[in-house]
Amino acid sequence: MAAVSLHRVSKAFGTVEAVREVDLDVAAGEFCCFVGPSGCGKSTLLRLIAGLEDVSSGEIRIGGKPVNDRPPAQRGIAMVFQSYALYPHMTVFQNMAFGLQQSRVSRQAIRERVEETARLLQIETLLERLPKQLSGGQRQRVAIGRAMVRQPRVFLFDEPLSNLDAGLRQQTRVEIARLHAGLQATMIYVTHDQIEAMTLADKIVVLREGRVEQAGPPLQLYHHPANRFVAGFIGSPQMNFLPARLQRATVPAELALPGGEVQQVAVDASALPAGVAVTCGIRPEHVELVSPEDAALRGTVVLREQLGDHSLVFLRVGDGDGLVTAKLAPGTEPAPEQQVGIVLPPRHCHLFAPDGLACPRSMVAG
Amino acid sequence: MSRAPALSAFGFQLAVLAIVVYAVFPFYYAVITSLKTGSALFRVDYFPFSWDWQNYVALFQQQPFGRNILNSVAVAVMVVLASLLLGTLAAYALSRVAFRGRGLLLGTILAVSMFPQVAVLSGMFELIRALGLYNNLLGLMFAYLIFTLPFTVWVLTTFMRELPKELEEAAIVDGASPWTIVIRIFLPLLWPAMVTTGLLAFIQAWNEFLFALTFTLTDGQRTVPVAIALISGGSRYELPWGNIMAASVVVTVPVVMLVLVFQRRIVAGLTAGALKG
Amino acid sequence: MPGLGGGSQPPSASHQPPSQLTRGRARTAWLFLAPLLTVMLSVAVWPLLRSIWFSFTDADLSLLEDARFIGLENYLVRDDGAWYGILADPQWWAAVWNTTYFAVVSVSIETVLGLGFALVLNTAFRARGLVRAAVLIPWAIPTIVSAKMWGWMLHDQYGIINDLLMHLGLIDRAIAWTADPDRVMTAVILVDVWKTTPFMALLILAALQLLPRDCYEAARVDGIHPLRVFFRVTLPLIRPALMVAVIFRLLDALRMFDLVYVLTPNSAETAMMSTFARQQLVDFQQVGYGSAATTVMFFLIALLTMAYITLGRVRLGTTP
Repeated sequence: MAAVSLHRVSKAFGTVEAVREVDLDVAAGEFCCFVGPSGCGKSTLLRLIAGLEDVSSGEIRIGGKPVNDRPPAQRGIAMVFQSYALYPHMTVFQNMAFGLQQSRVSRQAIRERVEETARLLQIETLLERLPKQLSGGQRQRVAIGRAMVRQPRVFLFDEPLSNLDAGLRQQTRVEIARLHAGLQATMIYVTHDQIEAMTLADKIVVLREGRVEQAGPPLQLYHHPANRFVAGFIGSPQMNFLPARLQRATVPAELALPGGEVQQVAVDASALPAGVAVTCGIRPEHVELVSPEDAALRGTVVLREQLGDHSLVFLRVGDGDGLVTAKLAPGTEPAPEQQVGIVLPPRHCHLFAPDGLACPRSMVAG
Repeated sequence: MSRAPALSAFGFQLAVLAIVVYAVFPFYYAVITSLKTGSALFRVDYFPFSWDWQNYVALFQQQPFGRNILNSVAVAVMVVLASLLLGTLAAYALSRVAFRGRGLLLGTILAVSMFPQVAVLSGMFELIRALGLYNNLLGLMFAYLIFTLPFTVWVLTTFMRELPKELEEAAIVDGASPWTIVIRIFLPLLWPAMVTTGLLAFIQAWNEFLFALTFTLTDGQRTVPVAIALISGGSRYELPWGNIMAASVVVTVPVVMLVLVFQRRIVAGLTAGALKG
Repeated sequence: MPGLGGGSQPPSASHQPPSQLTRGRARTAWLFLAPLLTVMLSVAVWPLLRSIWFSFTDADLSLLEDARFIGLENYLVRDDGAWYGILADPQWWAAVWNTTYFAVVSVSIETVLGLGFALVLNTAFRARGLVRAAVLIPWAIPTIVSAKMWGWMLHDQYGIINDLLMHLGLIDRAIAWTADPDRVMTAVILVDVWKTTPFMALLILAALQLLPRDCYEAARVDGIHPLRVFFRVTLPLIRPALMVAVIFRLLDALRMFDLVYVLTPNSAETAMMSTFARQQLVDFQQVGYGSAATTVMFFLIALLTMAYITLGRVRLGTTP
């Protein structure tokens, strides 16, 4: 297994910059997810690592050695494509054997490796079938098997689950996680689904418009987002954002909400001038609802969503269009149109400066 | 599919009948004529009068018509194979690899198909003679490439462009060389297009006249269109029409078979070449 | 590799030298193209250039090696007060006129007729596949064979066409279709139309089948007369494909040789550019003069092709 490192990698297609000055390190055996909205450059980045595109500038190293000028087959990588890209006229066996045949492996060795990999993935009964005779999930596994059989140093996944329906997606997600645990392989995984990223990754890299917004373990991104974009991207339902004005740049900071209510936030805002417009963020599960007399901030219930294991309550606060979302235990939600008091515990609040950067949180989240 | 505009059902059926008669009648009449001999030829009959095969016998006896047919087949097959080989390789380069001048090259190749055949006649004649290929089937095959190649390259490029990129990328990641990709990945997927193109090239080569007329000298080396054109009697008024019609039928029947069997492919190839261009 | 640091001028792909990967692929592409290009150069480019060269010489078919350079004499030269050369040759210009007339008339008829066929074939009915196959037959058989078959049908004494027309009372005397100077052009156009209408019909049919059905359903719901639907909706929508087919066919018709050579070889009224040129080259062995004819023809057609391409691009530029 090899580590992958990118040093100031950029890629432009004509005048369009898909990737800008990306610095990244993936440790050997790590499961790293690239996430971001469409067009953020995550697929391009993956293809640069694979060698399917040339970098415009910068260096890519796999296993410590620069690979910029190496074709994909010599980089020690294997790729699982979004559409699986199985050769339609070849059987499963031939699909998996193809790559080994190109490397001049002996027929005996090919047979052994393919059969062993097929057993691991539980597709050994499908070896003589054609791709069109397989279900989506089976094709998925053949695609993974084709990658595994070449014993690559790095696995690359390009949104492999997006073509599966919801139930199959979850099942395959578990299988991929187990695969990673079993092989201890370096895996780079591109997805637009942040839930996949949160559940599978050792490290998440959030990308936007070709730049890395933040890279780190999932829970770190969850509890300590570096900026407003990451805060809003990670976590479902999305974090609440309330506009506010910084009254006192102390620790903890003091804000004035649009309705005049004072809100304390457990962050270090000393770098910001007082009076500046800021954004206060809080995750729905941390919003507490009390009776209206017990809180300075009040709101009205607009909508409730009861999902069985939890409920979501959408509240209108003040005159604005924005709704505040609260995630509550089932059975505790207020009735529609009810007036409630909203408490935002300071230790769970985030503060974002006008440029989007997060102020350092002075207390550990919990 | 739209309803027949402003035509009653009967009118529509009449139109269909008219179209079929339009297309098939000359051939039908040629068959009737070919089965008549002697004075019967000089009478106009709308329906089969006799079933005399003498014209066909005479056709093959009075000239090496059988040999002519073989010549046509040989040339056409060689041309098709050469065109497909060169065309497939070129199509890969033109459809899957972005390089400078690609659009210009494709346009130039297409432009070649616009050449009037006469415009290269003198130069081609000199070249073929210099290569010692005058009055030789190989010379014809060589010359025919001028119109089969551009068309073949164009159609195959159009079809190859449609093949999914991820398939090729998977093969690249697997370590396949471009040659392997063409032979083991694309060719199996492309063979319907190759059949279509091959068919169209075959028909083109089979029907060609000007080069065959100009570059062959002896009856034994002639192809079918030239042989038919040169069937003669004593003078212009003594053309052996029975023989000529028999020859026409002999040549048309296999083509009709081909068309009936492969009509879908042929239409697809024609429209791909013209419409997608 | 030196990167351009995070300044205001980001690196664009065109400023970077292509990596070994892209260069390797480009090299492979040219390798794959090499056989094709070699053949095309020897089969098309060289003979064309050579023919153009011959047009500047006094080459004779029997002694091609003795060709001498004579400049533009084959094209236009003044000698003894009279103009000689292809550009002053009335027979040549007659051939050019014949060819143009033939092409325009033929293609017009083919287009209208082909449109009619296509509309009929666009409707679903049983045996449609068979009819479509039948319609392909005229296109698929060698032009020579069509010429002979029609030559026989148009025979002045024993031809079925004359017989039919006389029986229908449309004419009282047999017409010598392939000999009468007033009729030969009609005969040639007739056979060409017969032969290539199927090709036009199929192209138009393909275009028709690509049309979105909702237009027609909306028109039906609105109760618009089918003829108006045709002229206002169908025709404008297939116009691009129609234009392509028409230009294609025009260029083809201008190069026509086989039909005239076999059907009406001795008629001056149907002398075409190609038959004129070949006659000079092969029958009269005047390779220099004949090549001048073919060169003029080549440039005429090339001009038309370029006009088509530029017009086509202009049209394409206006549609989003």
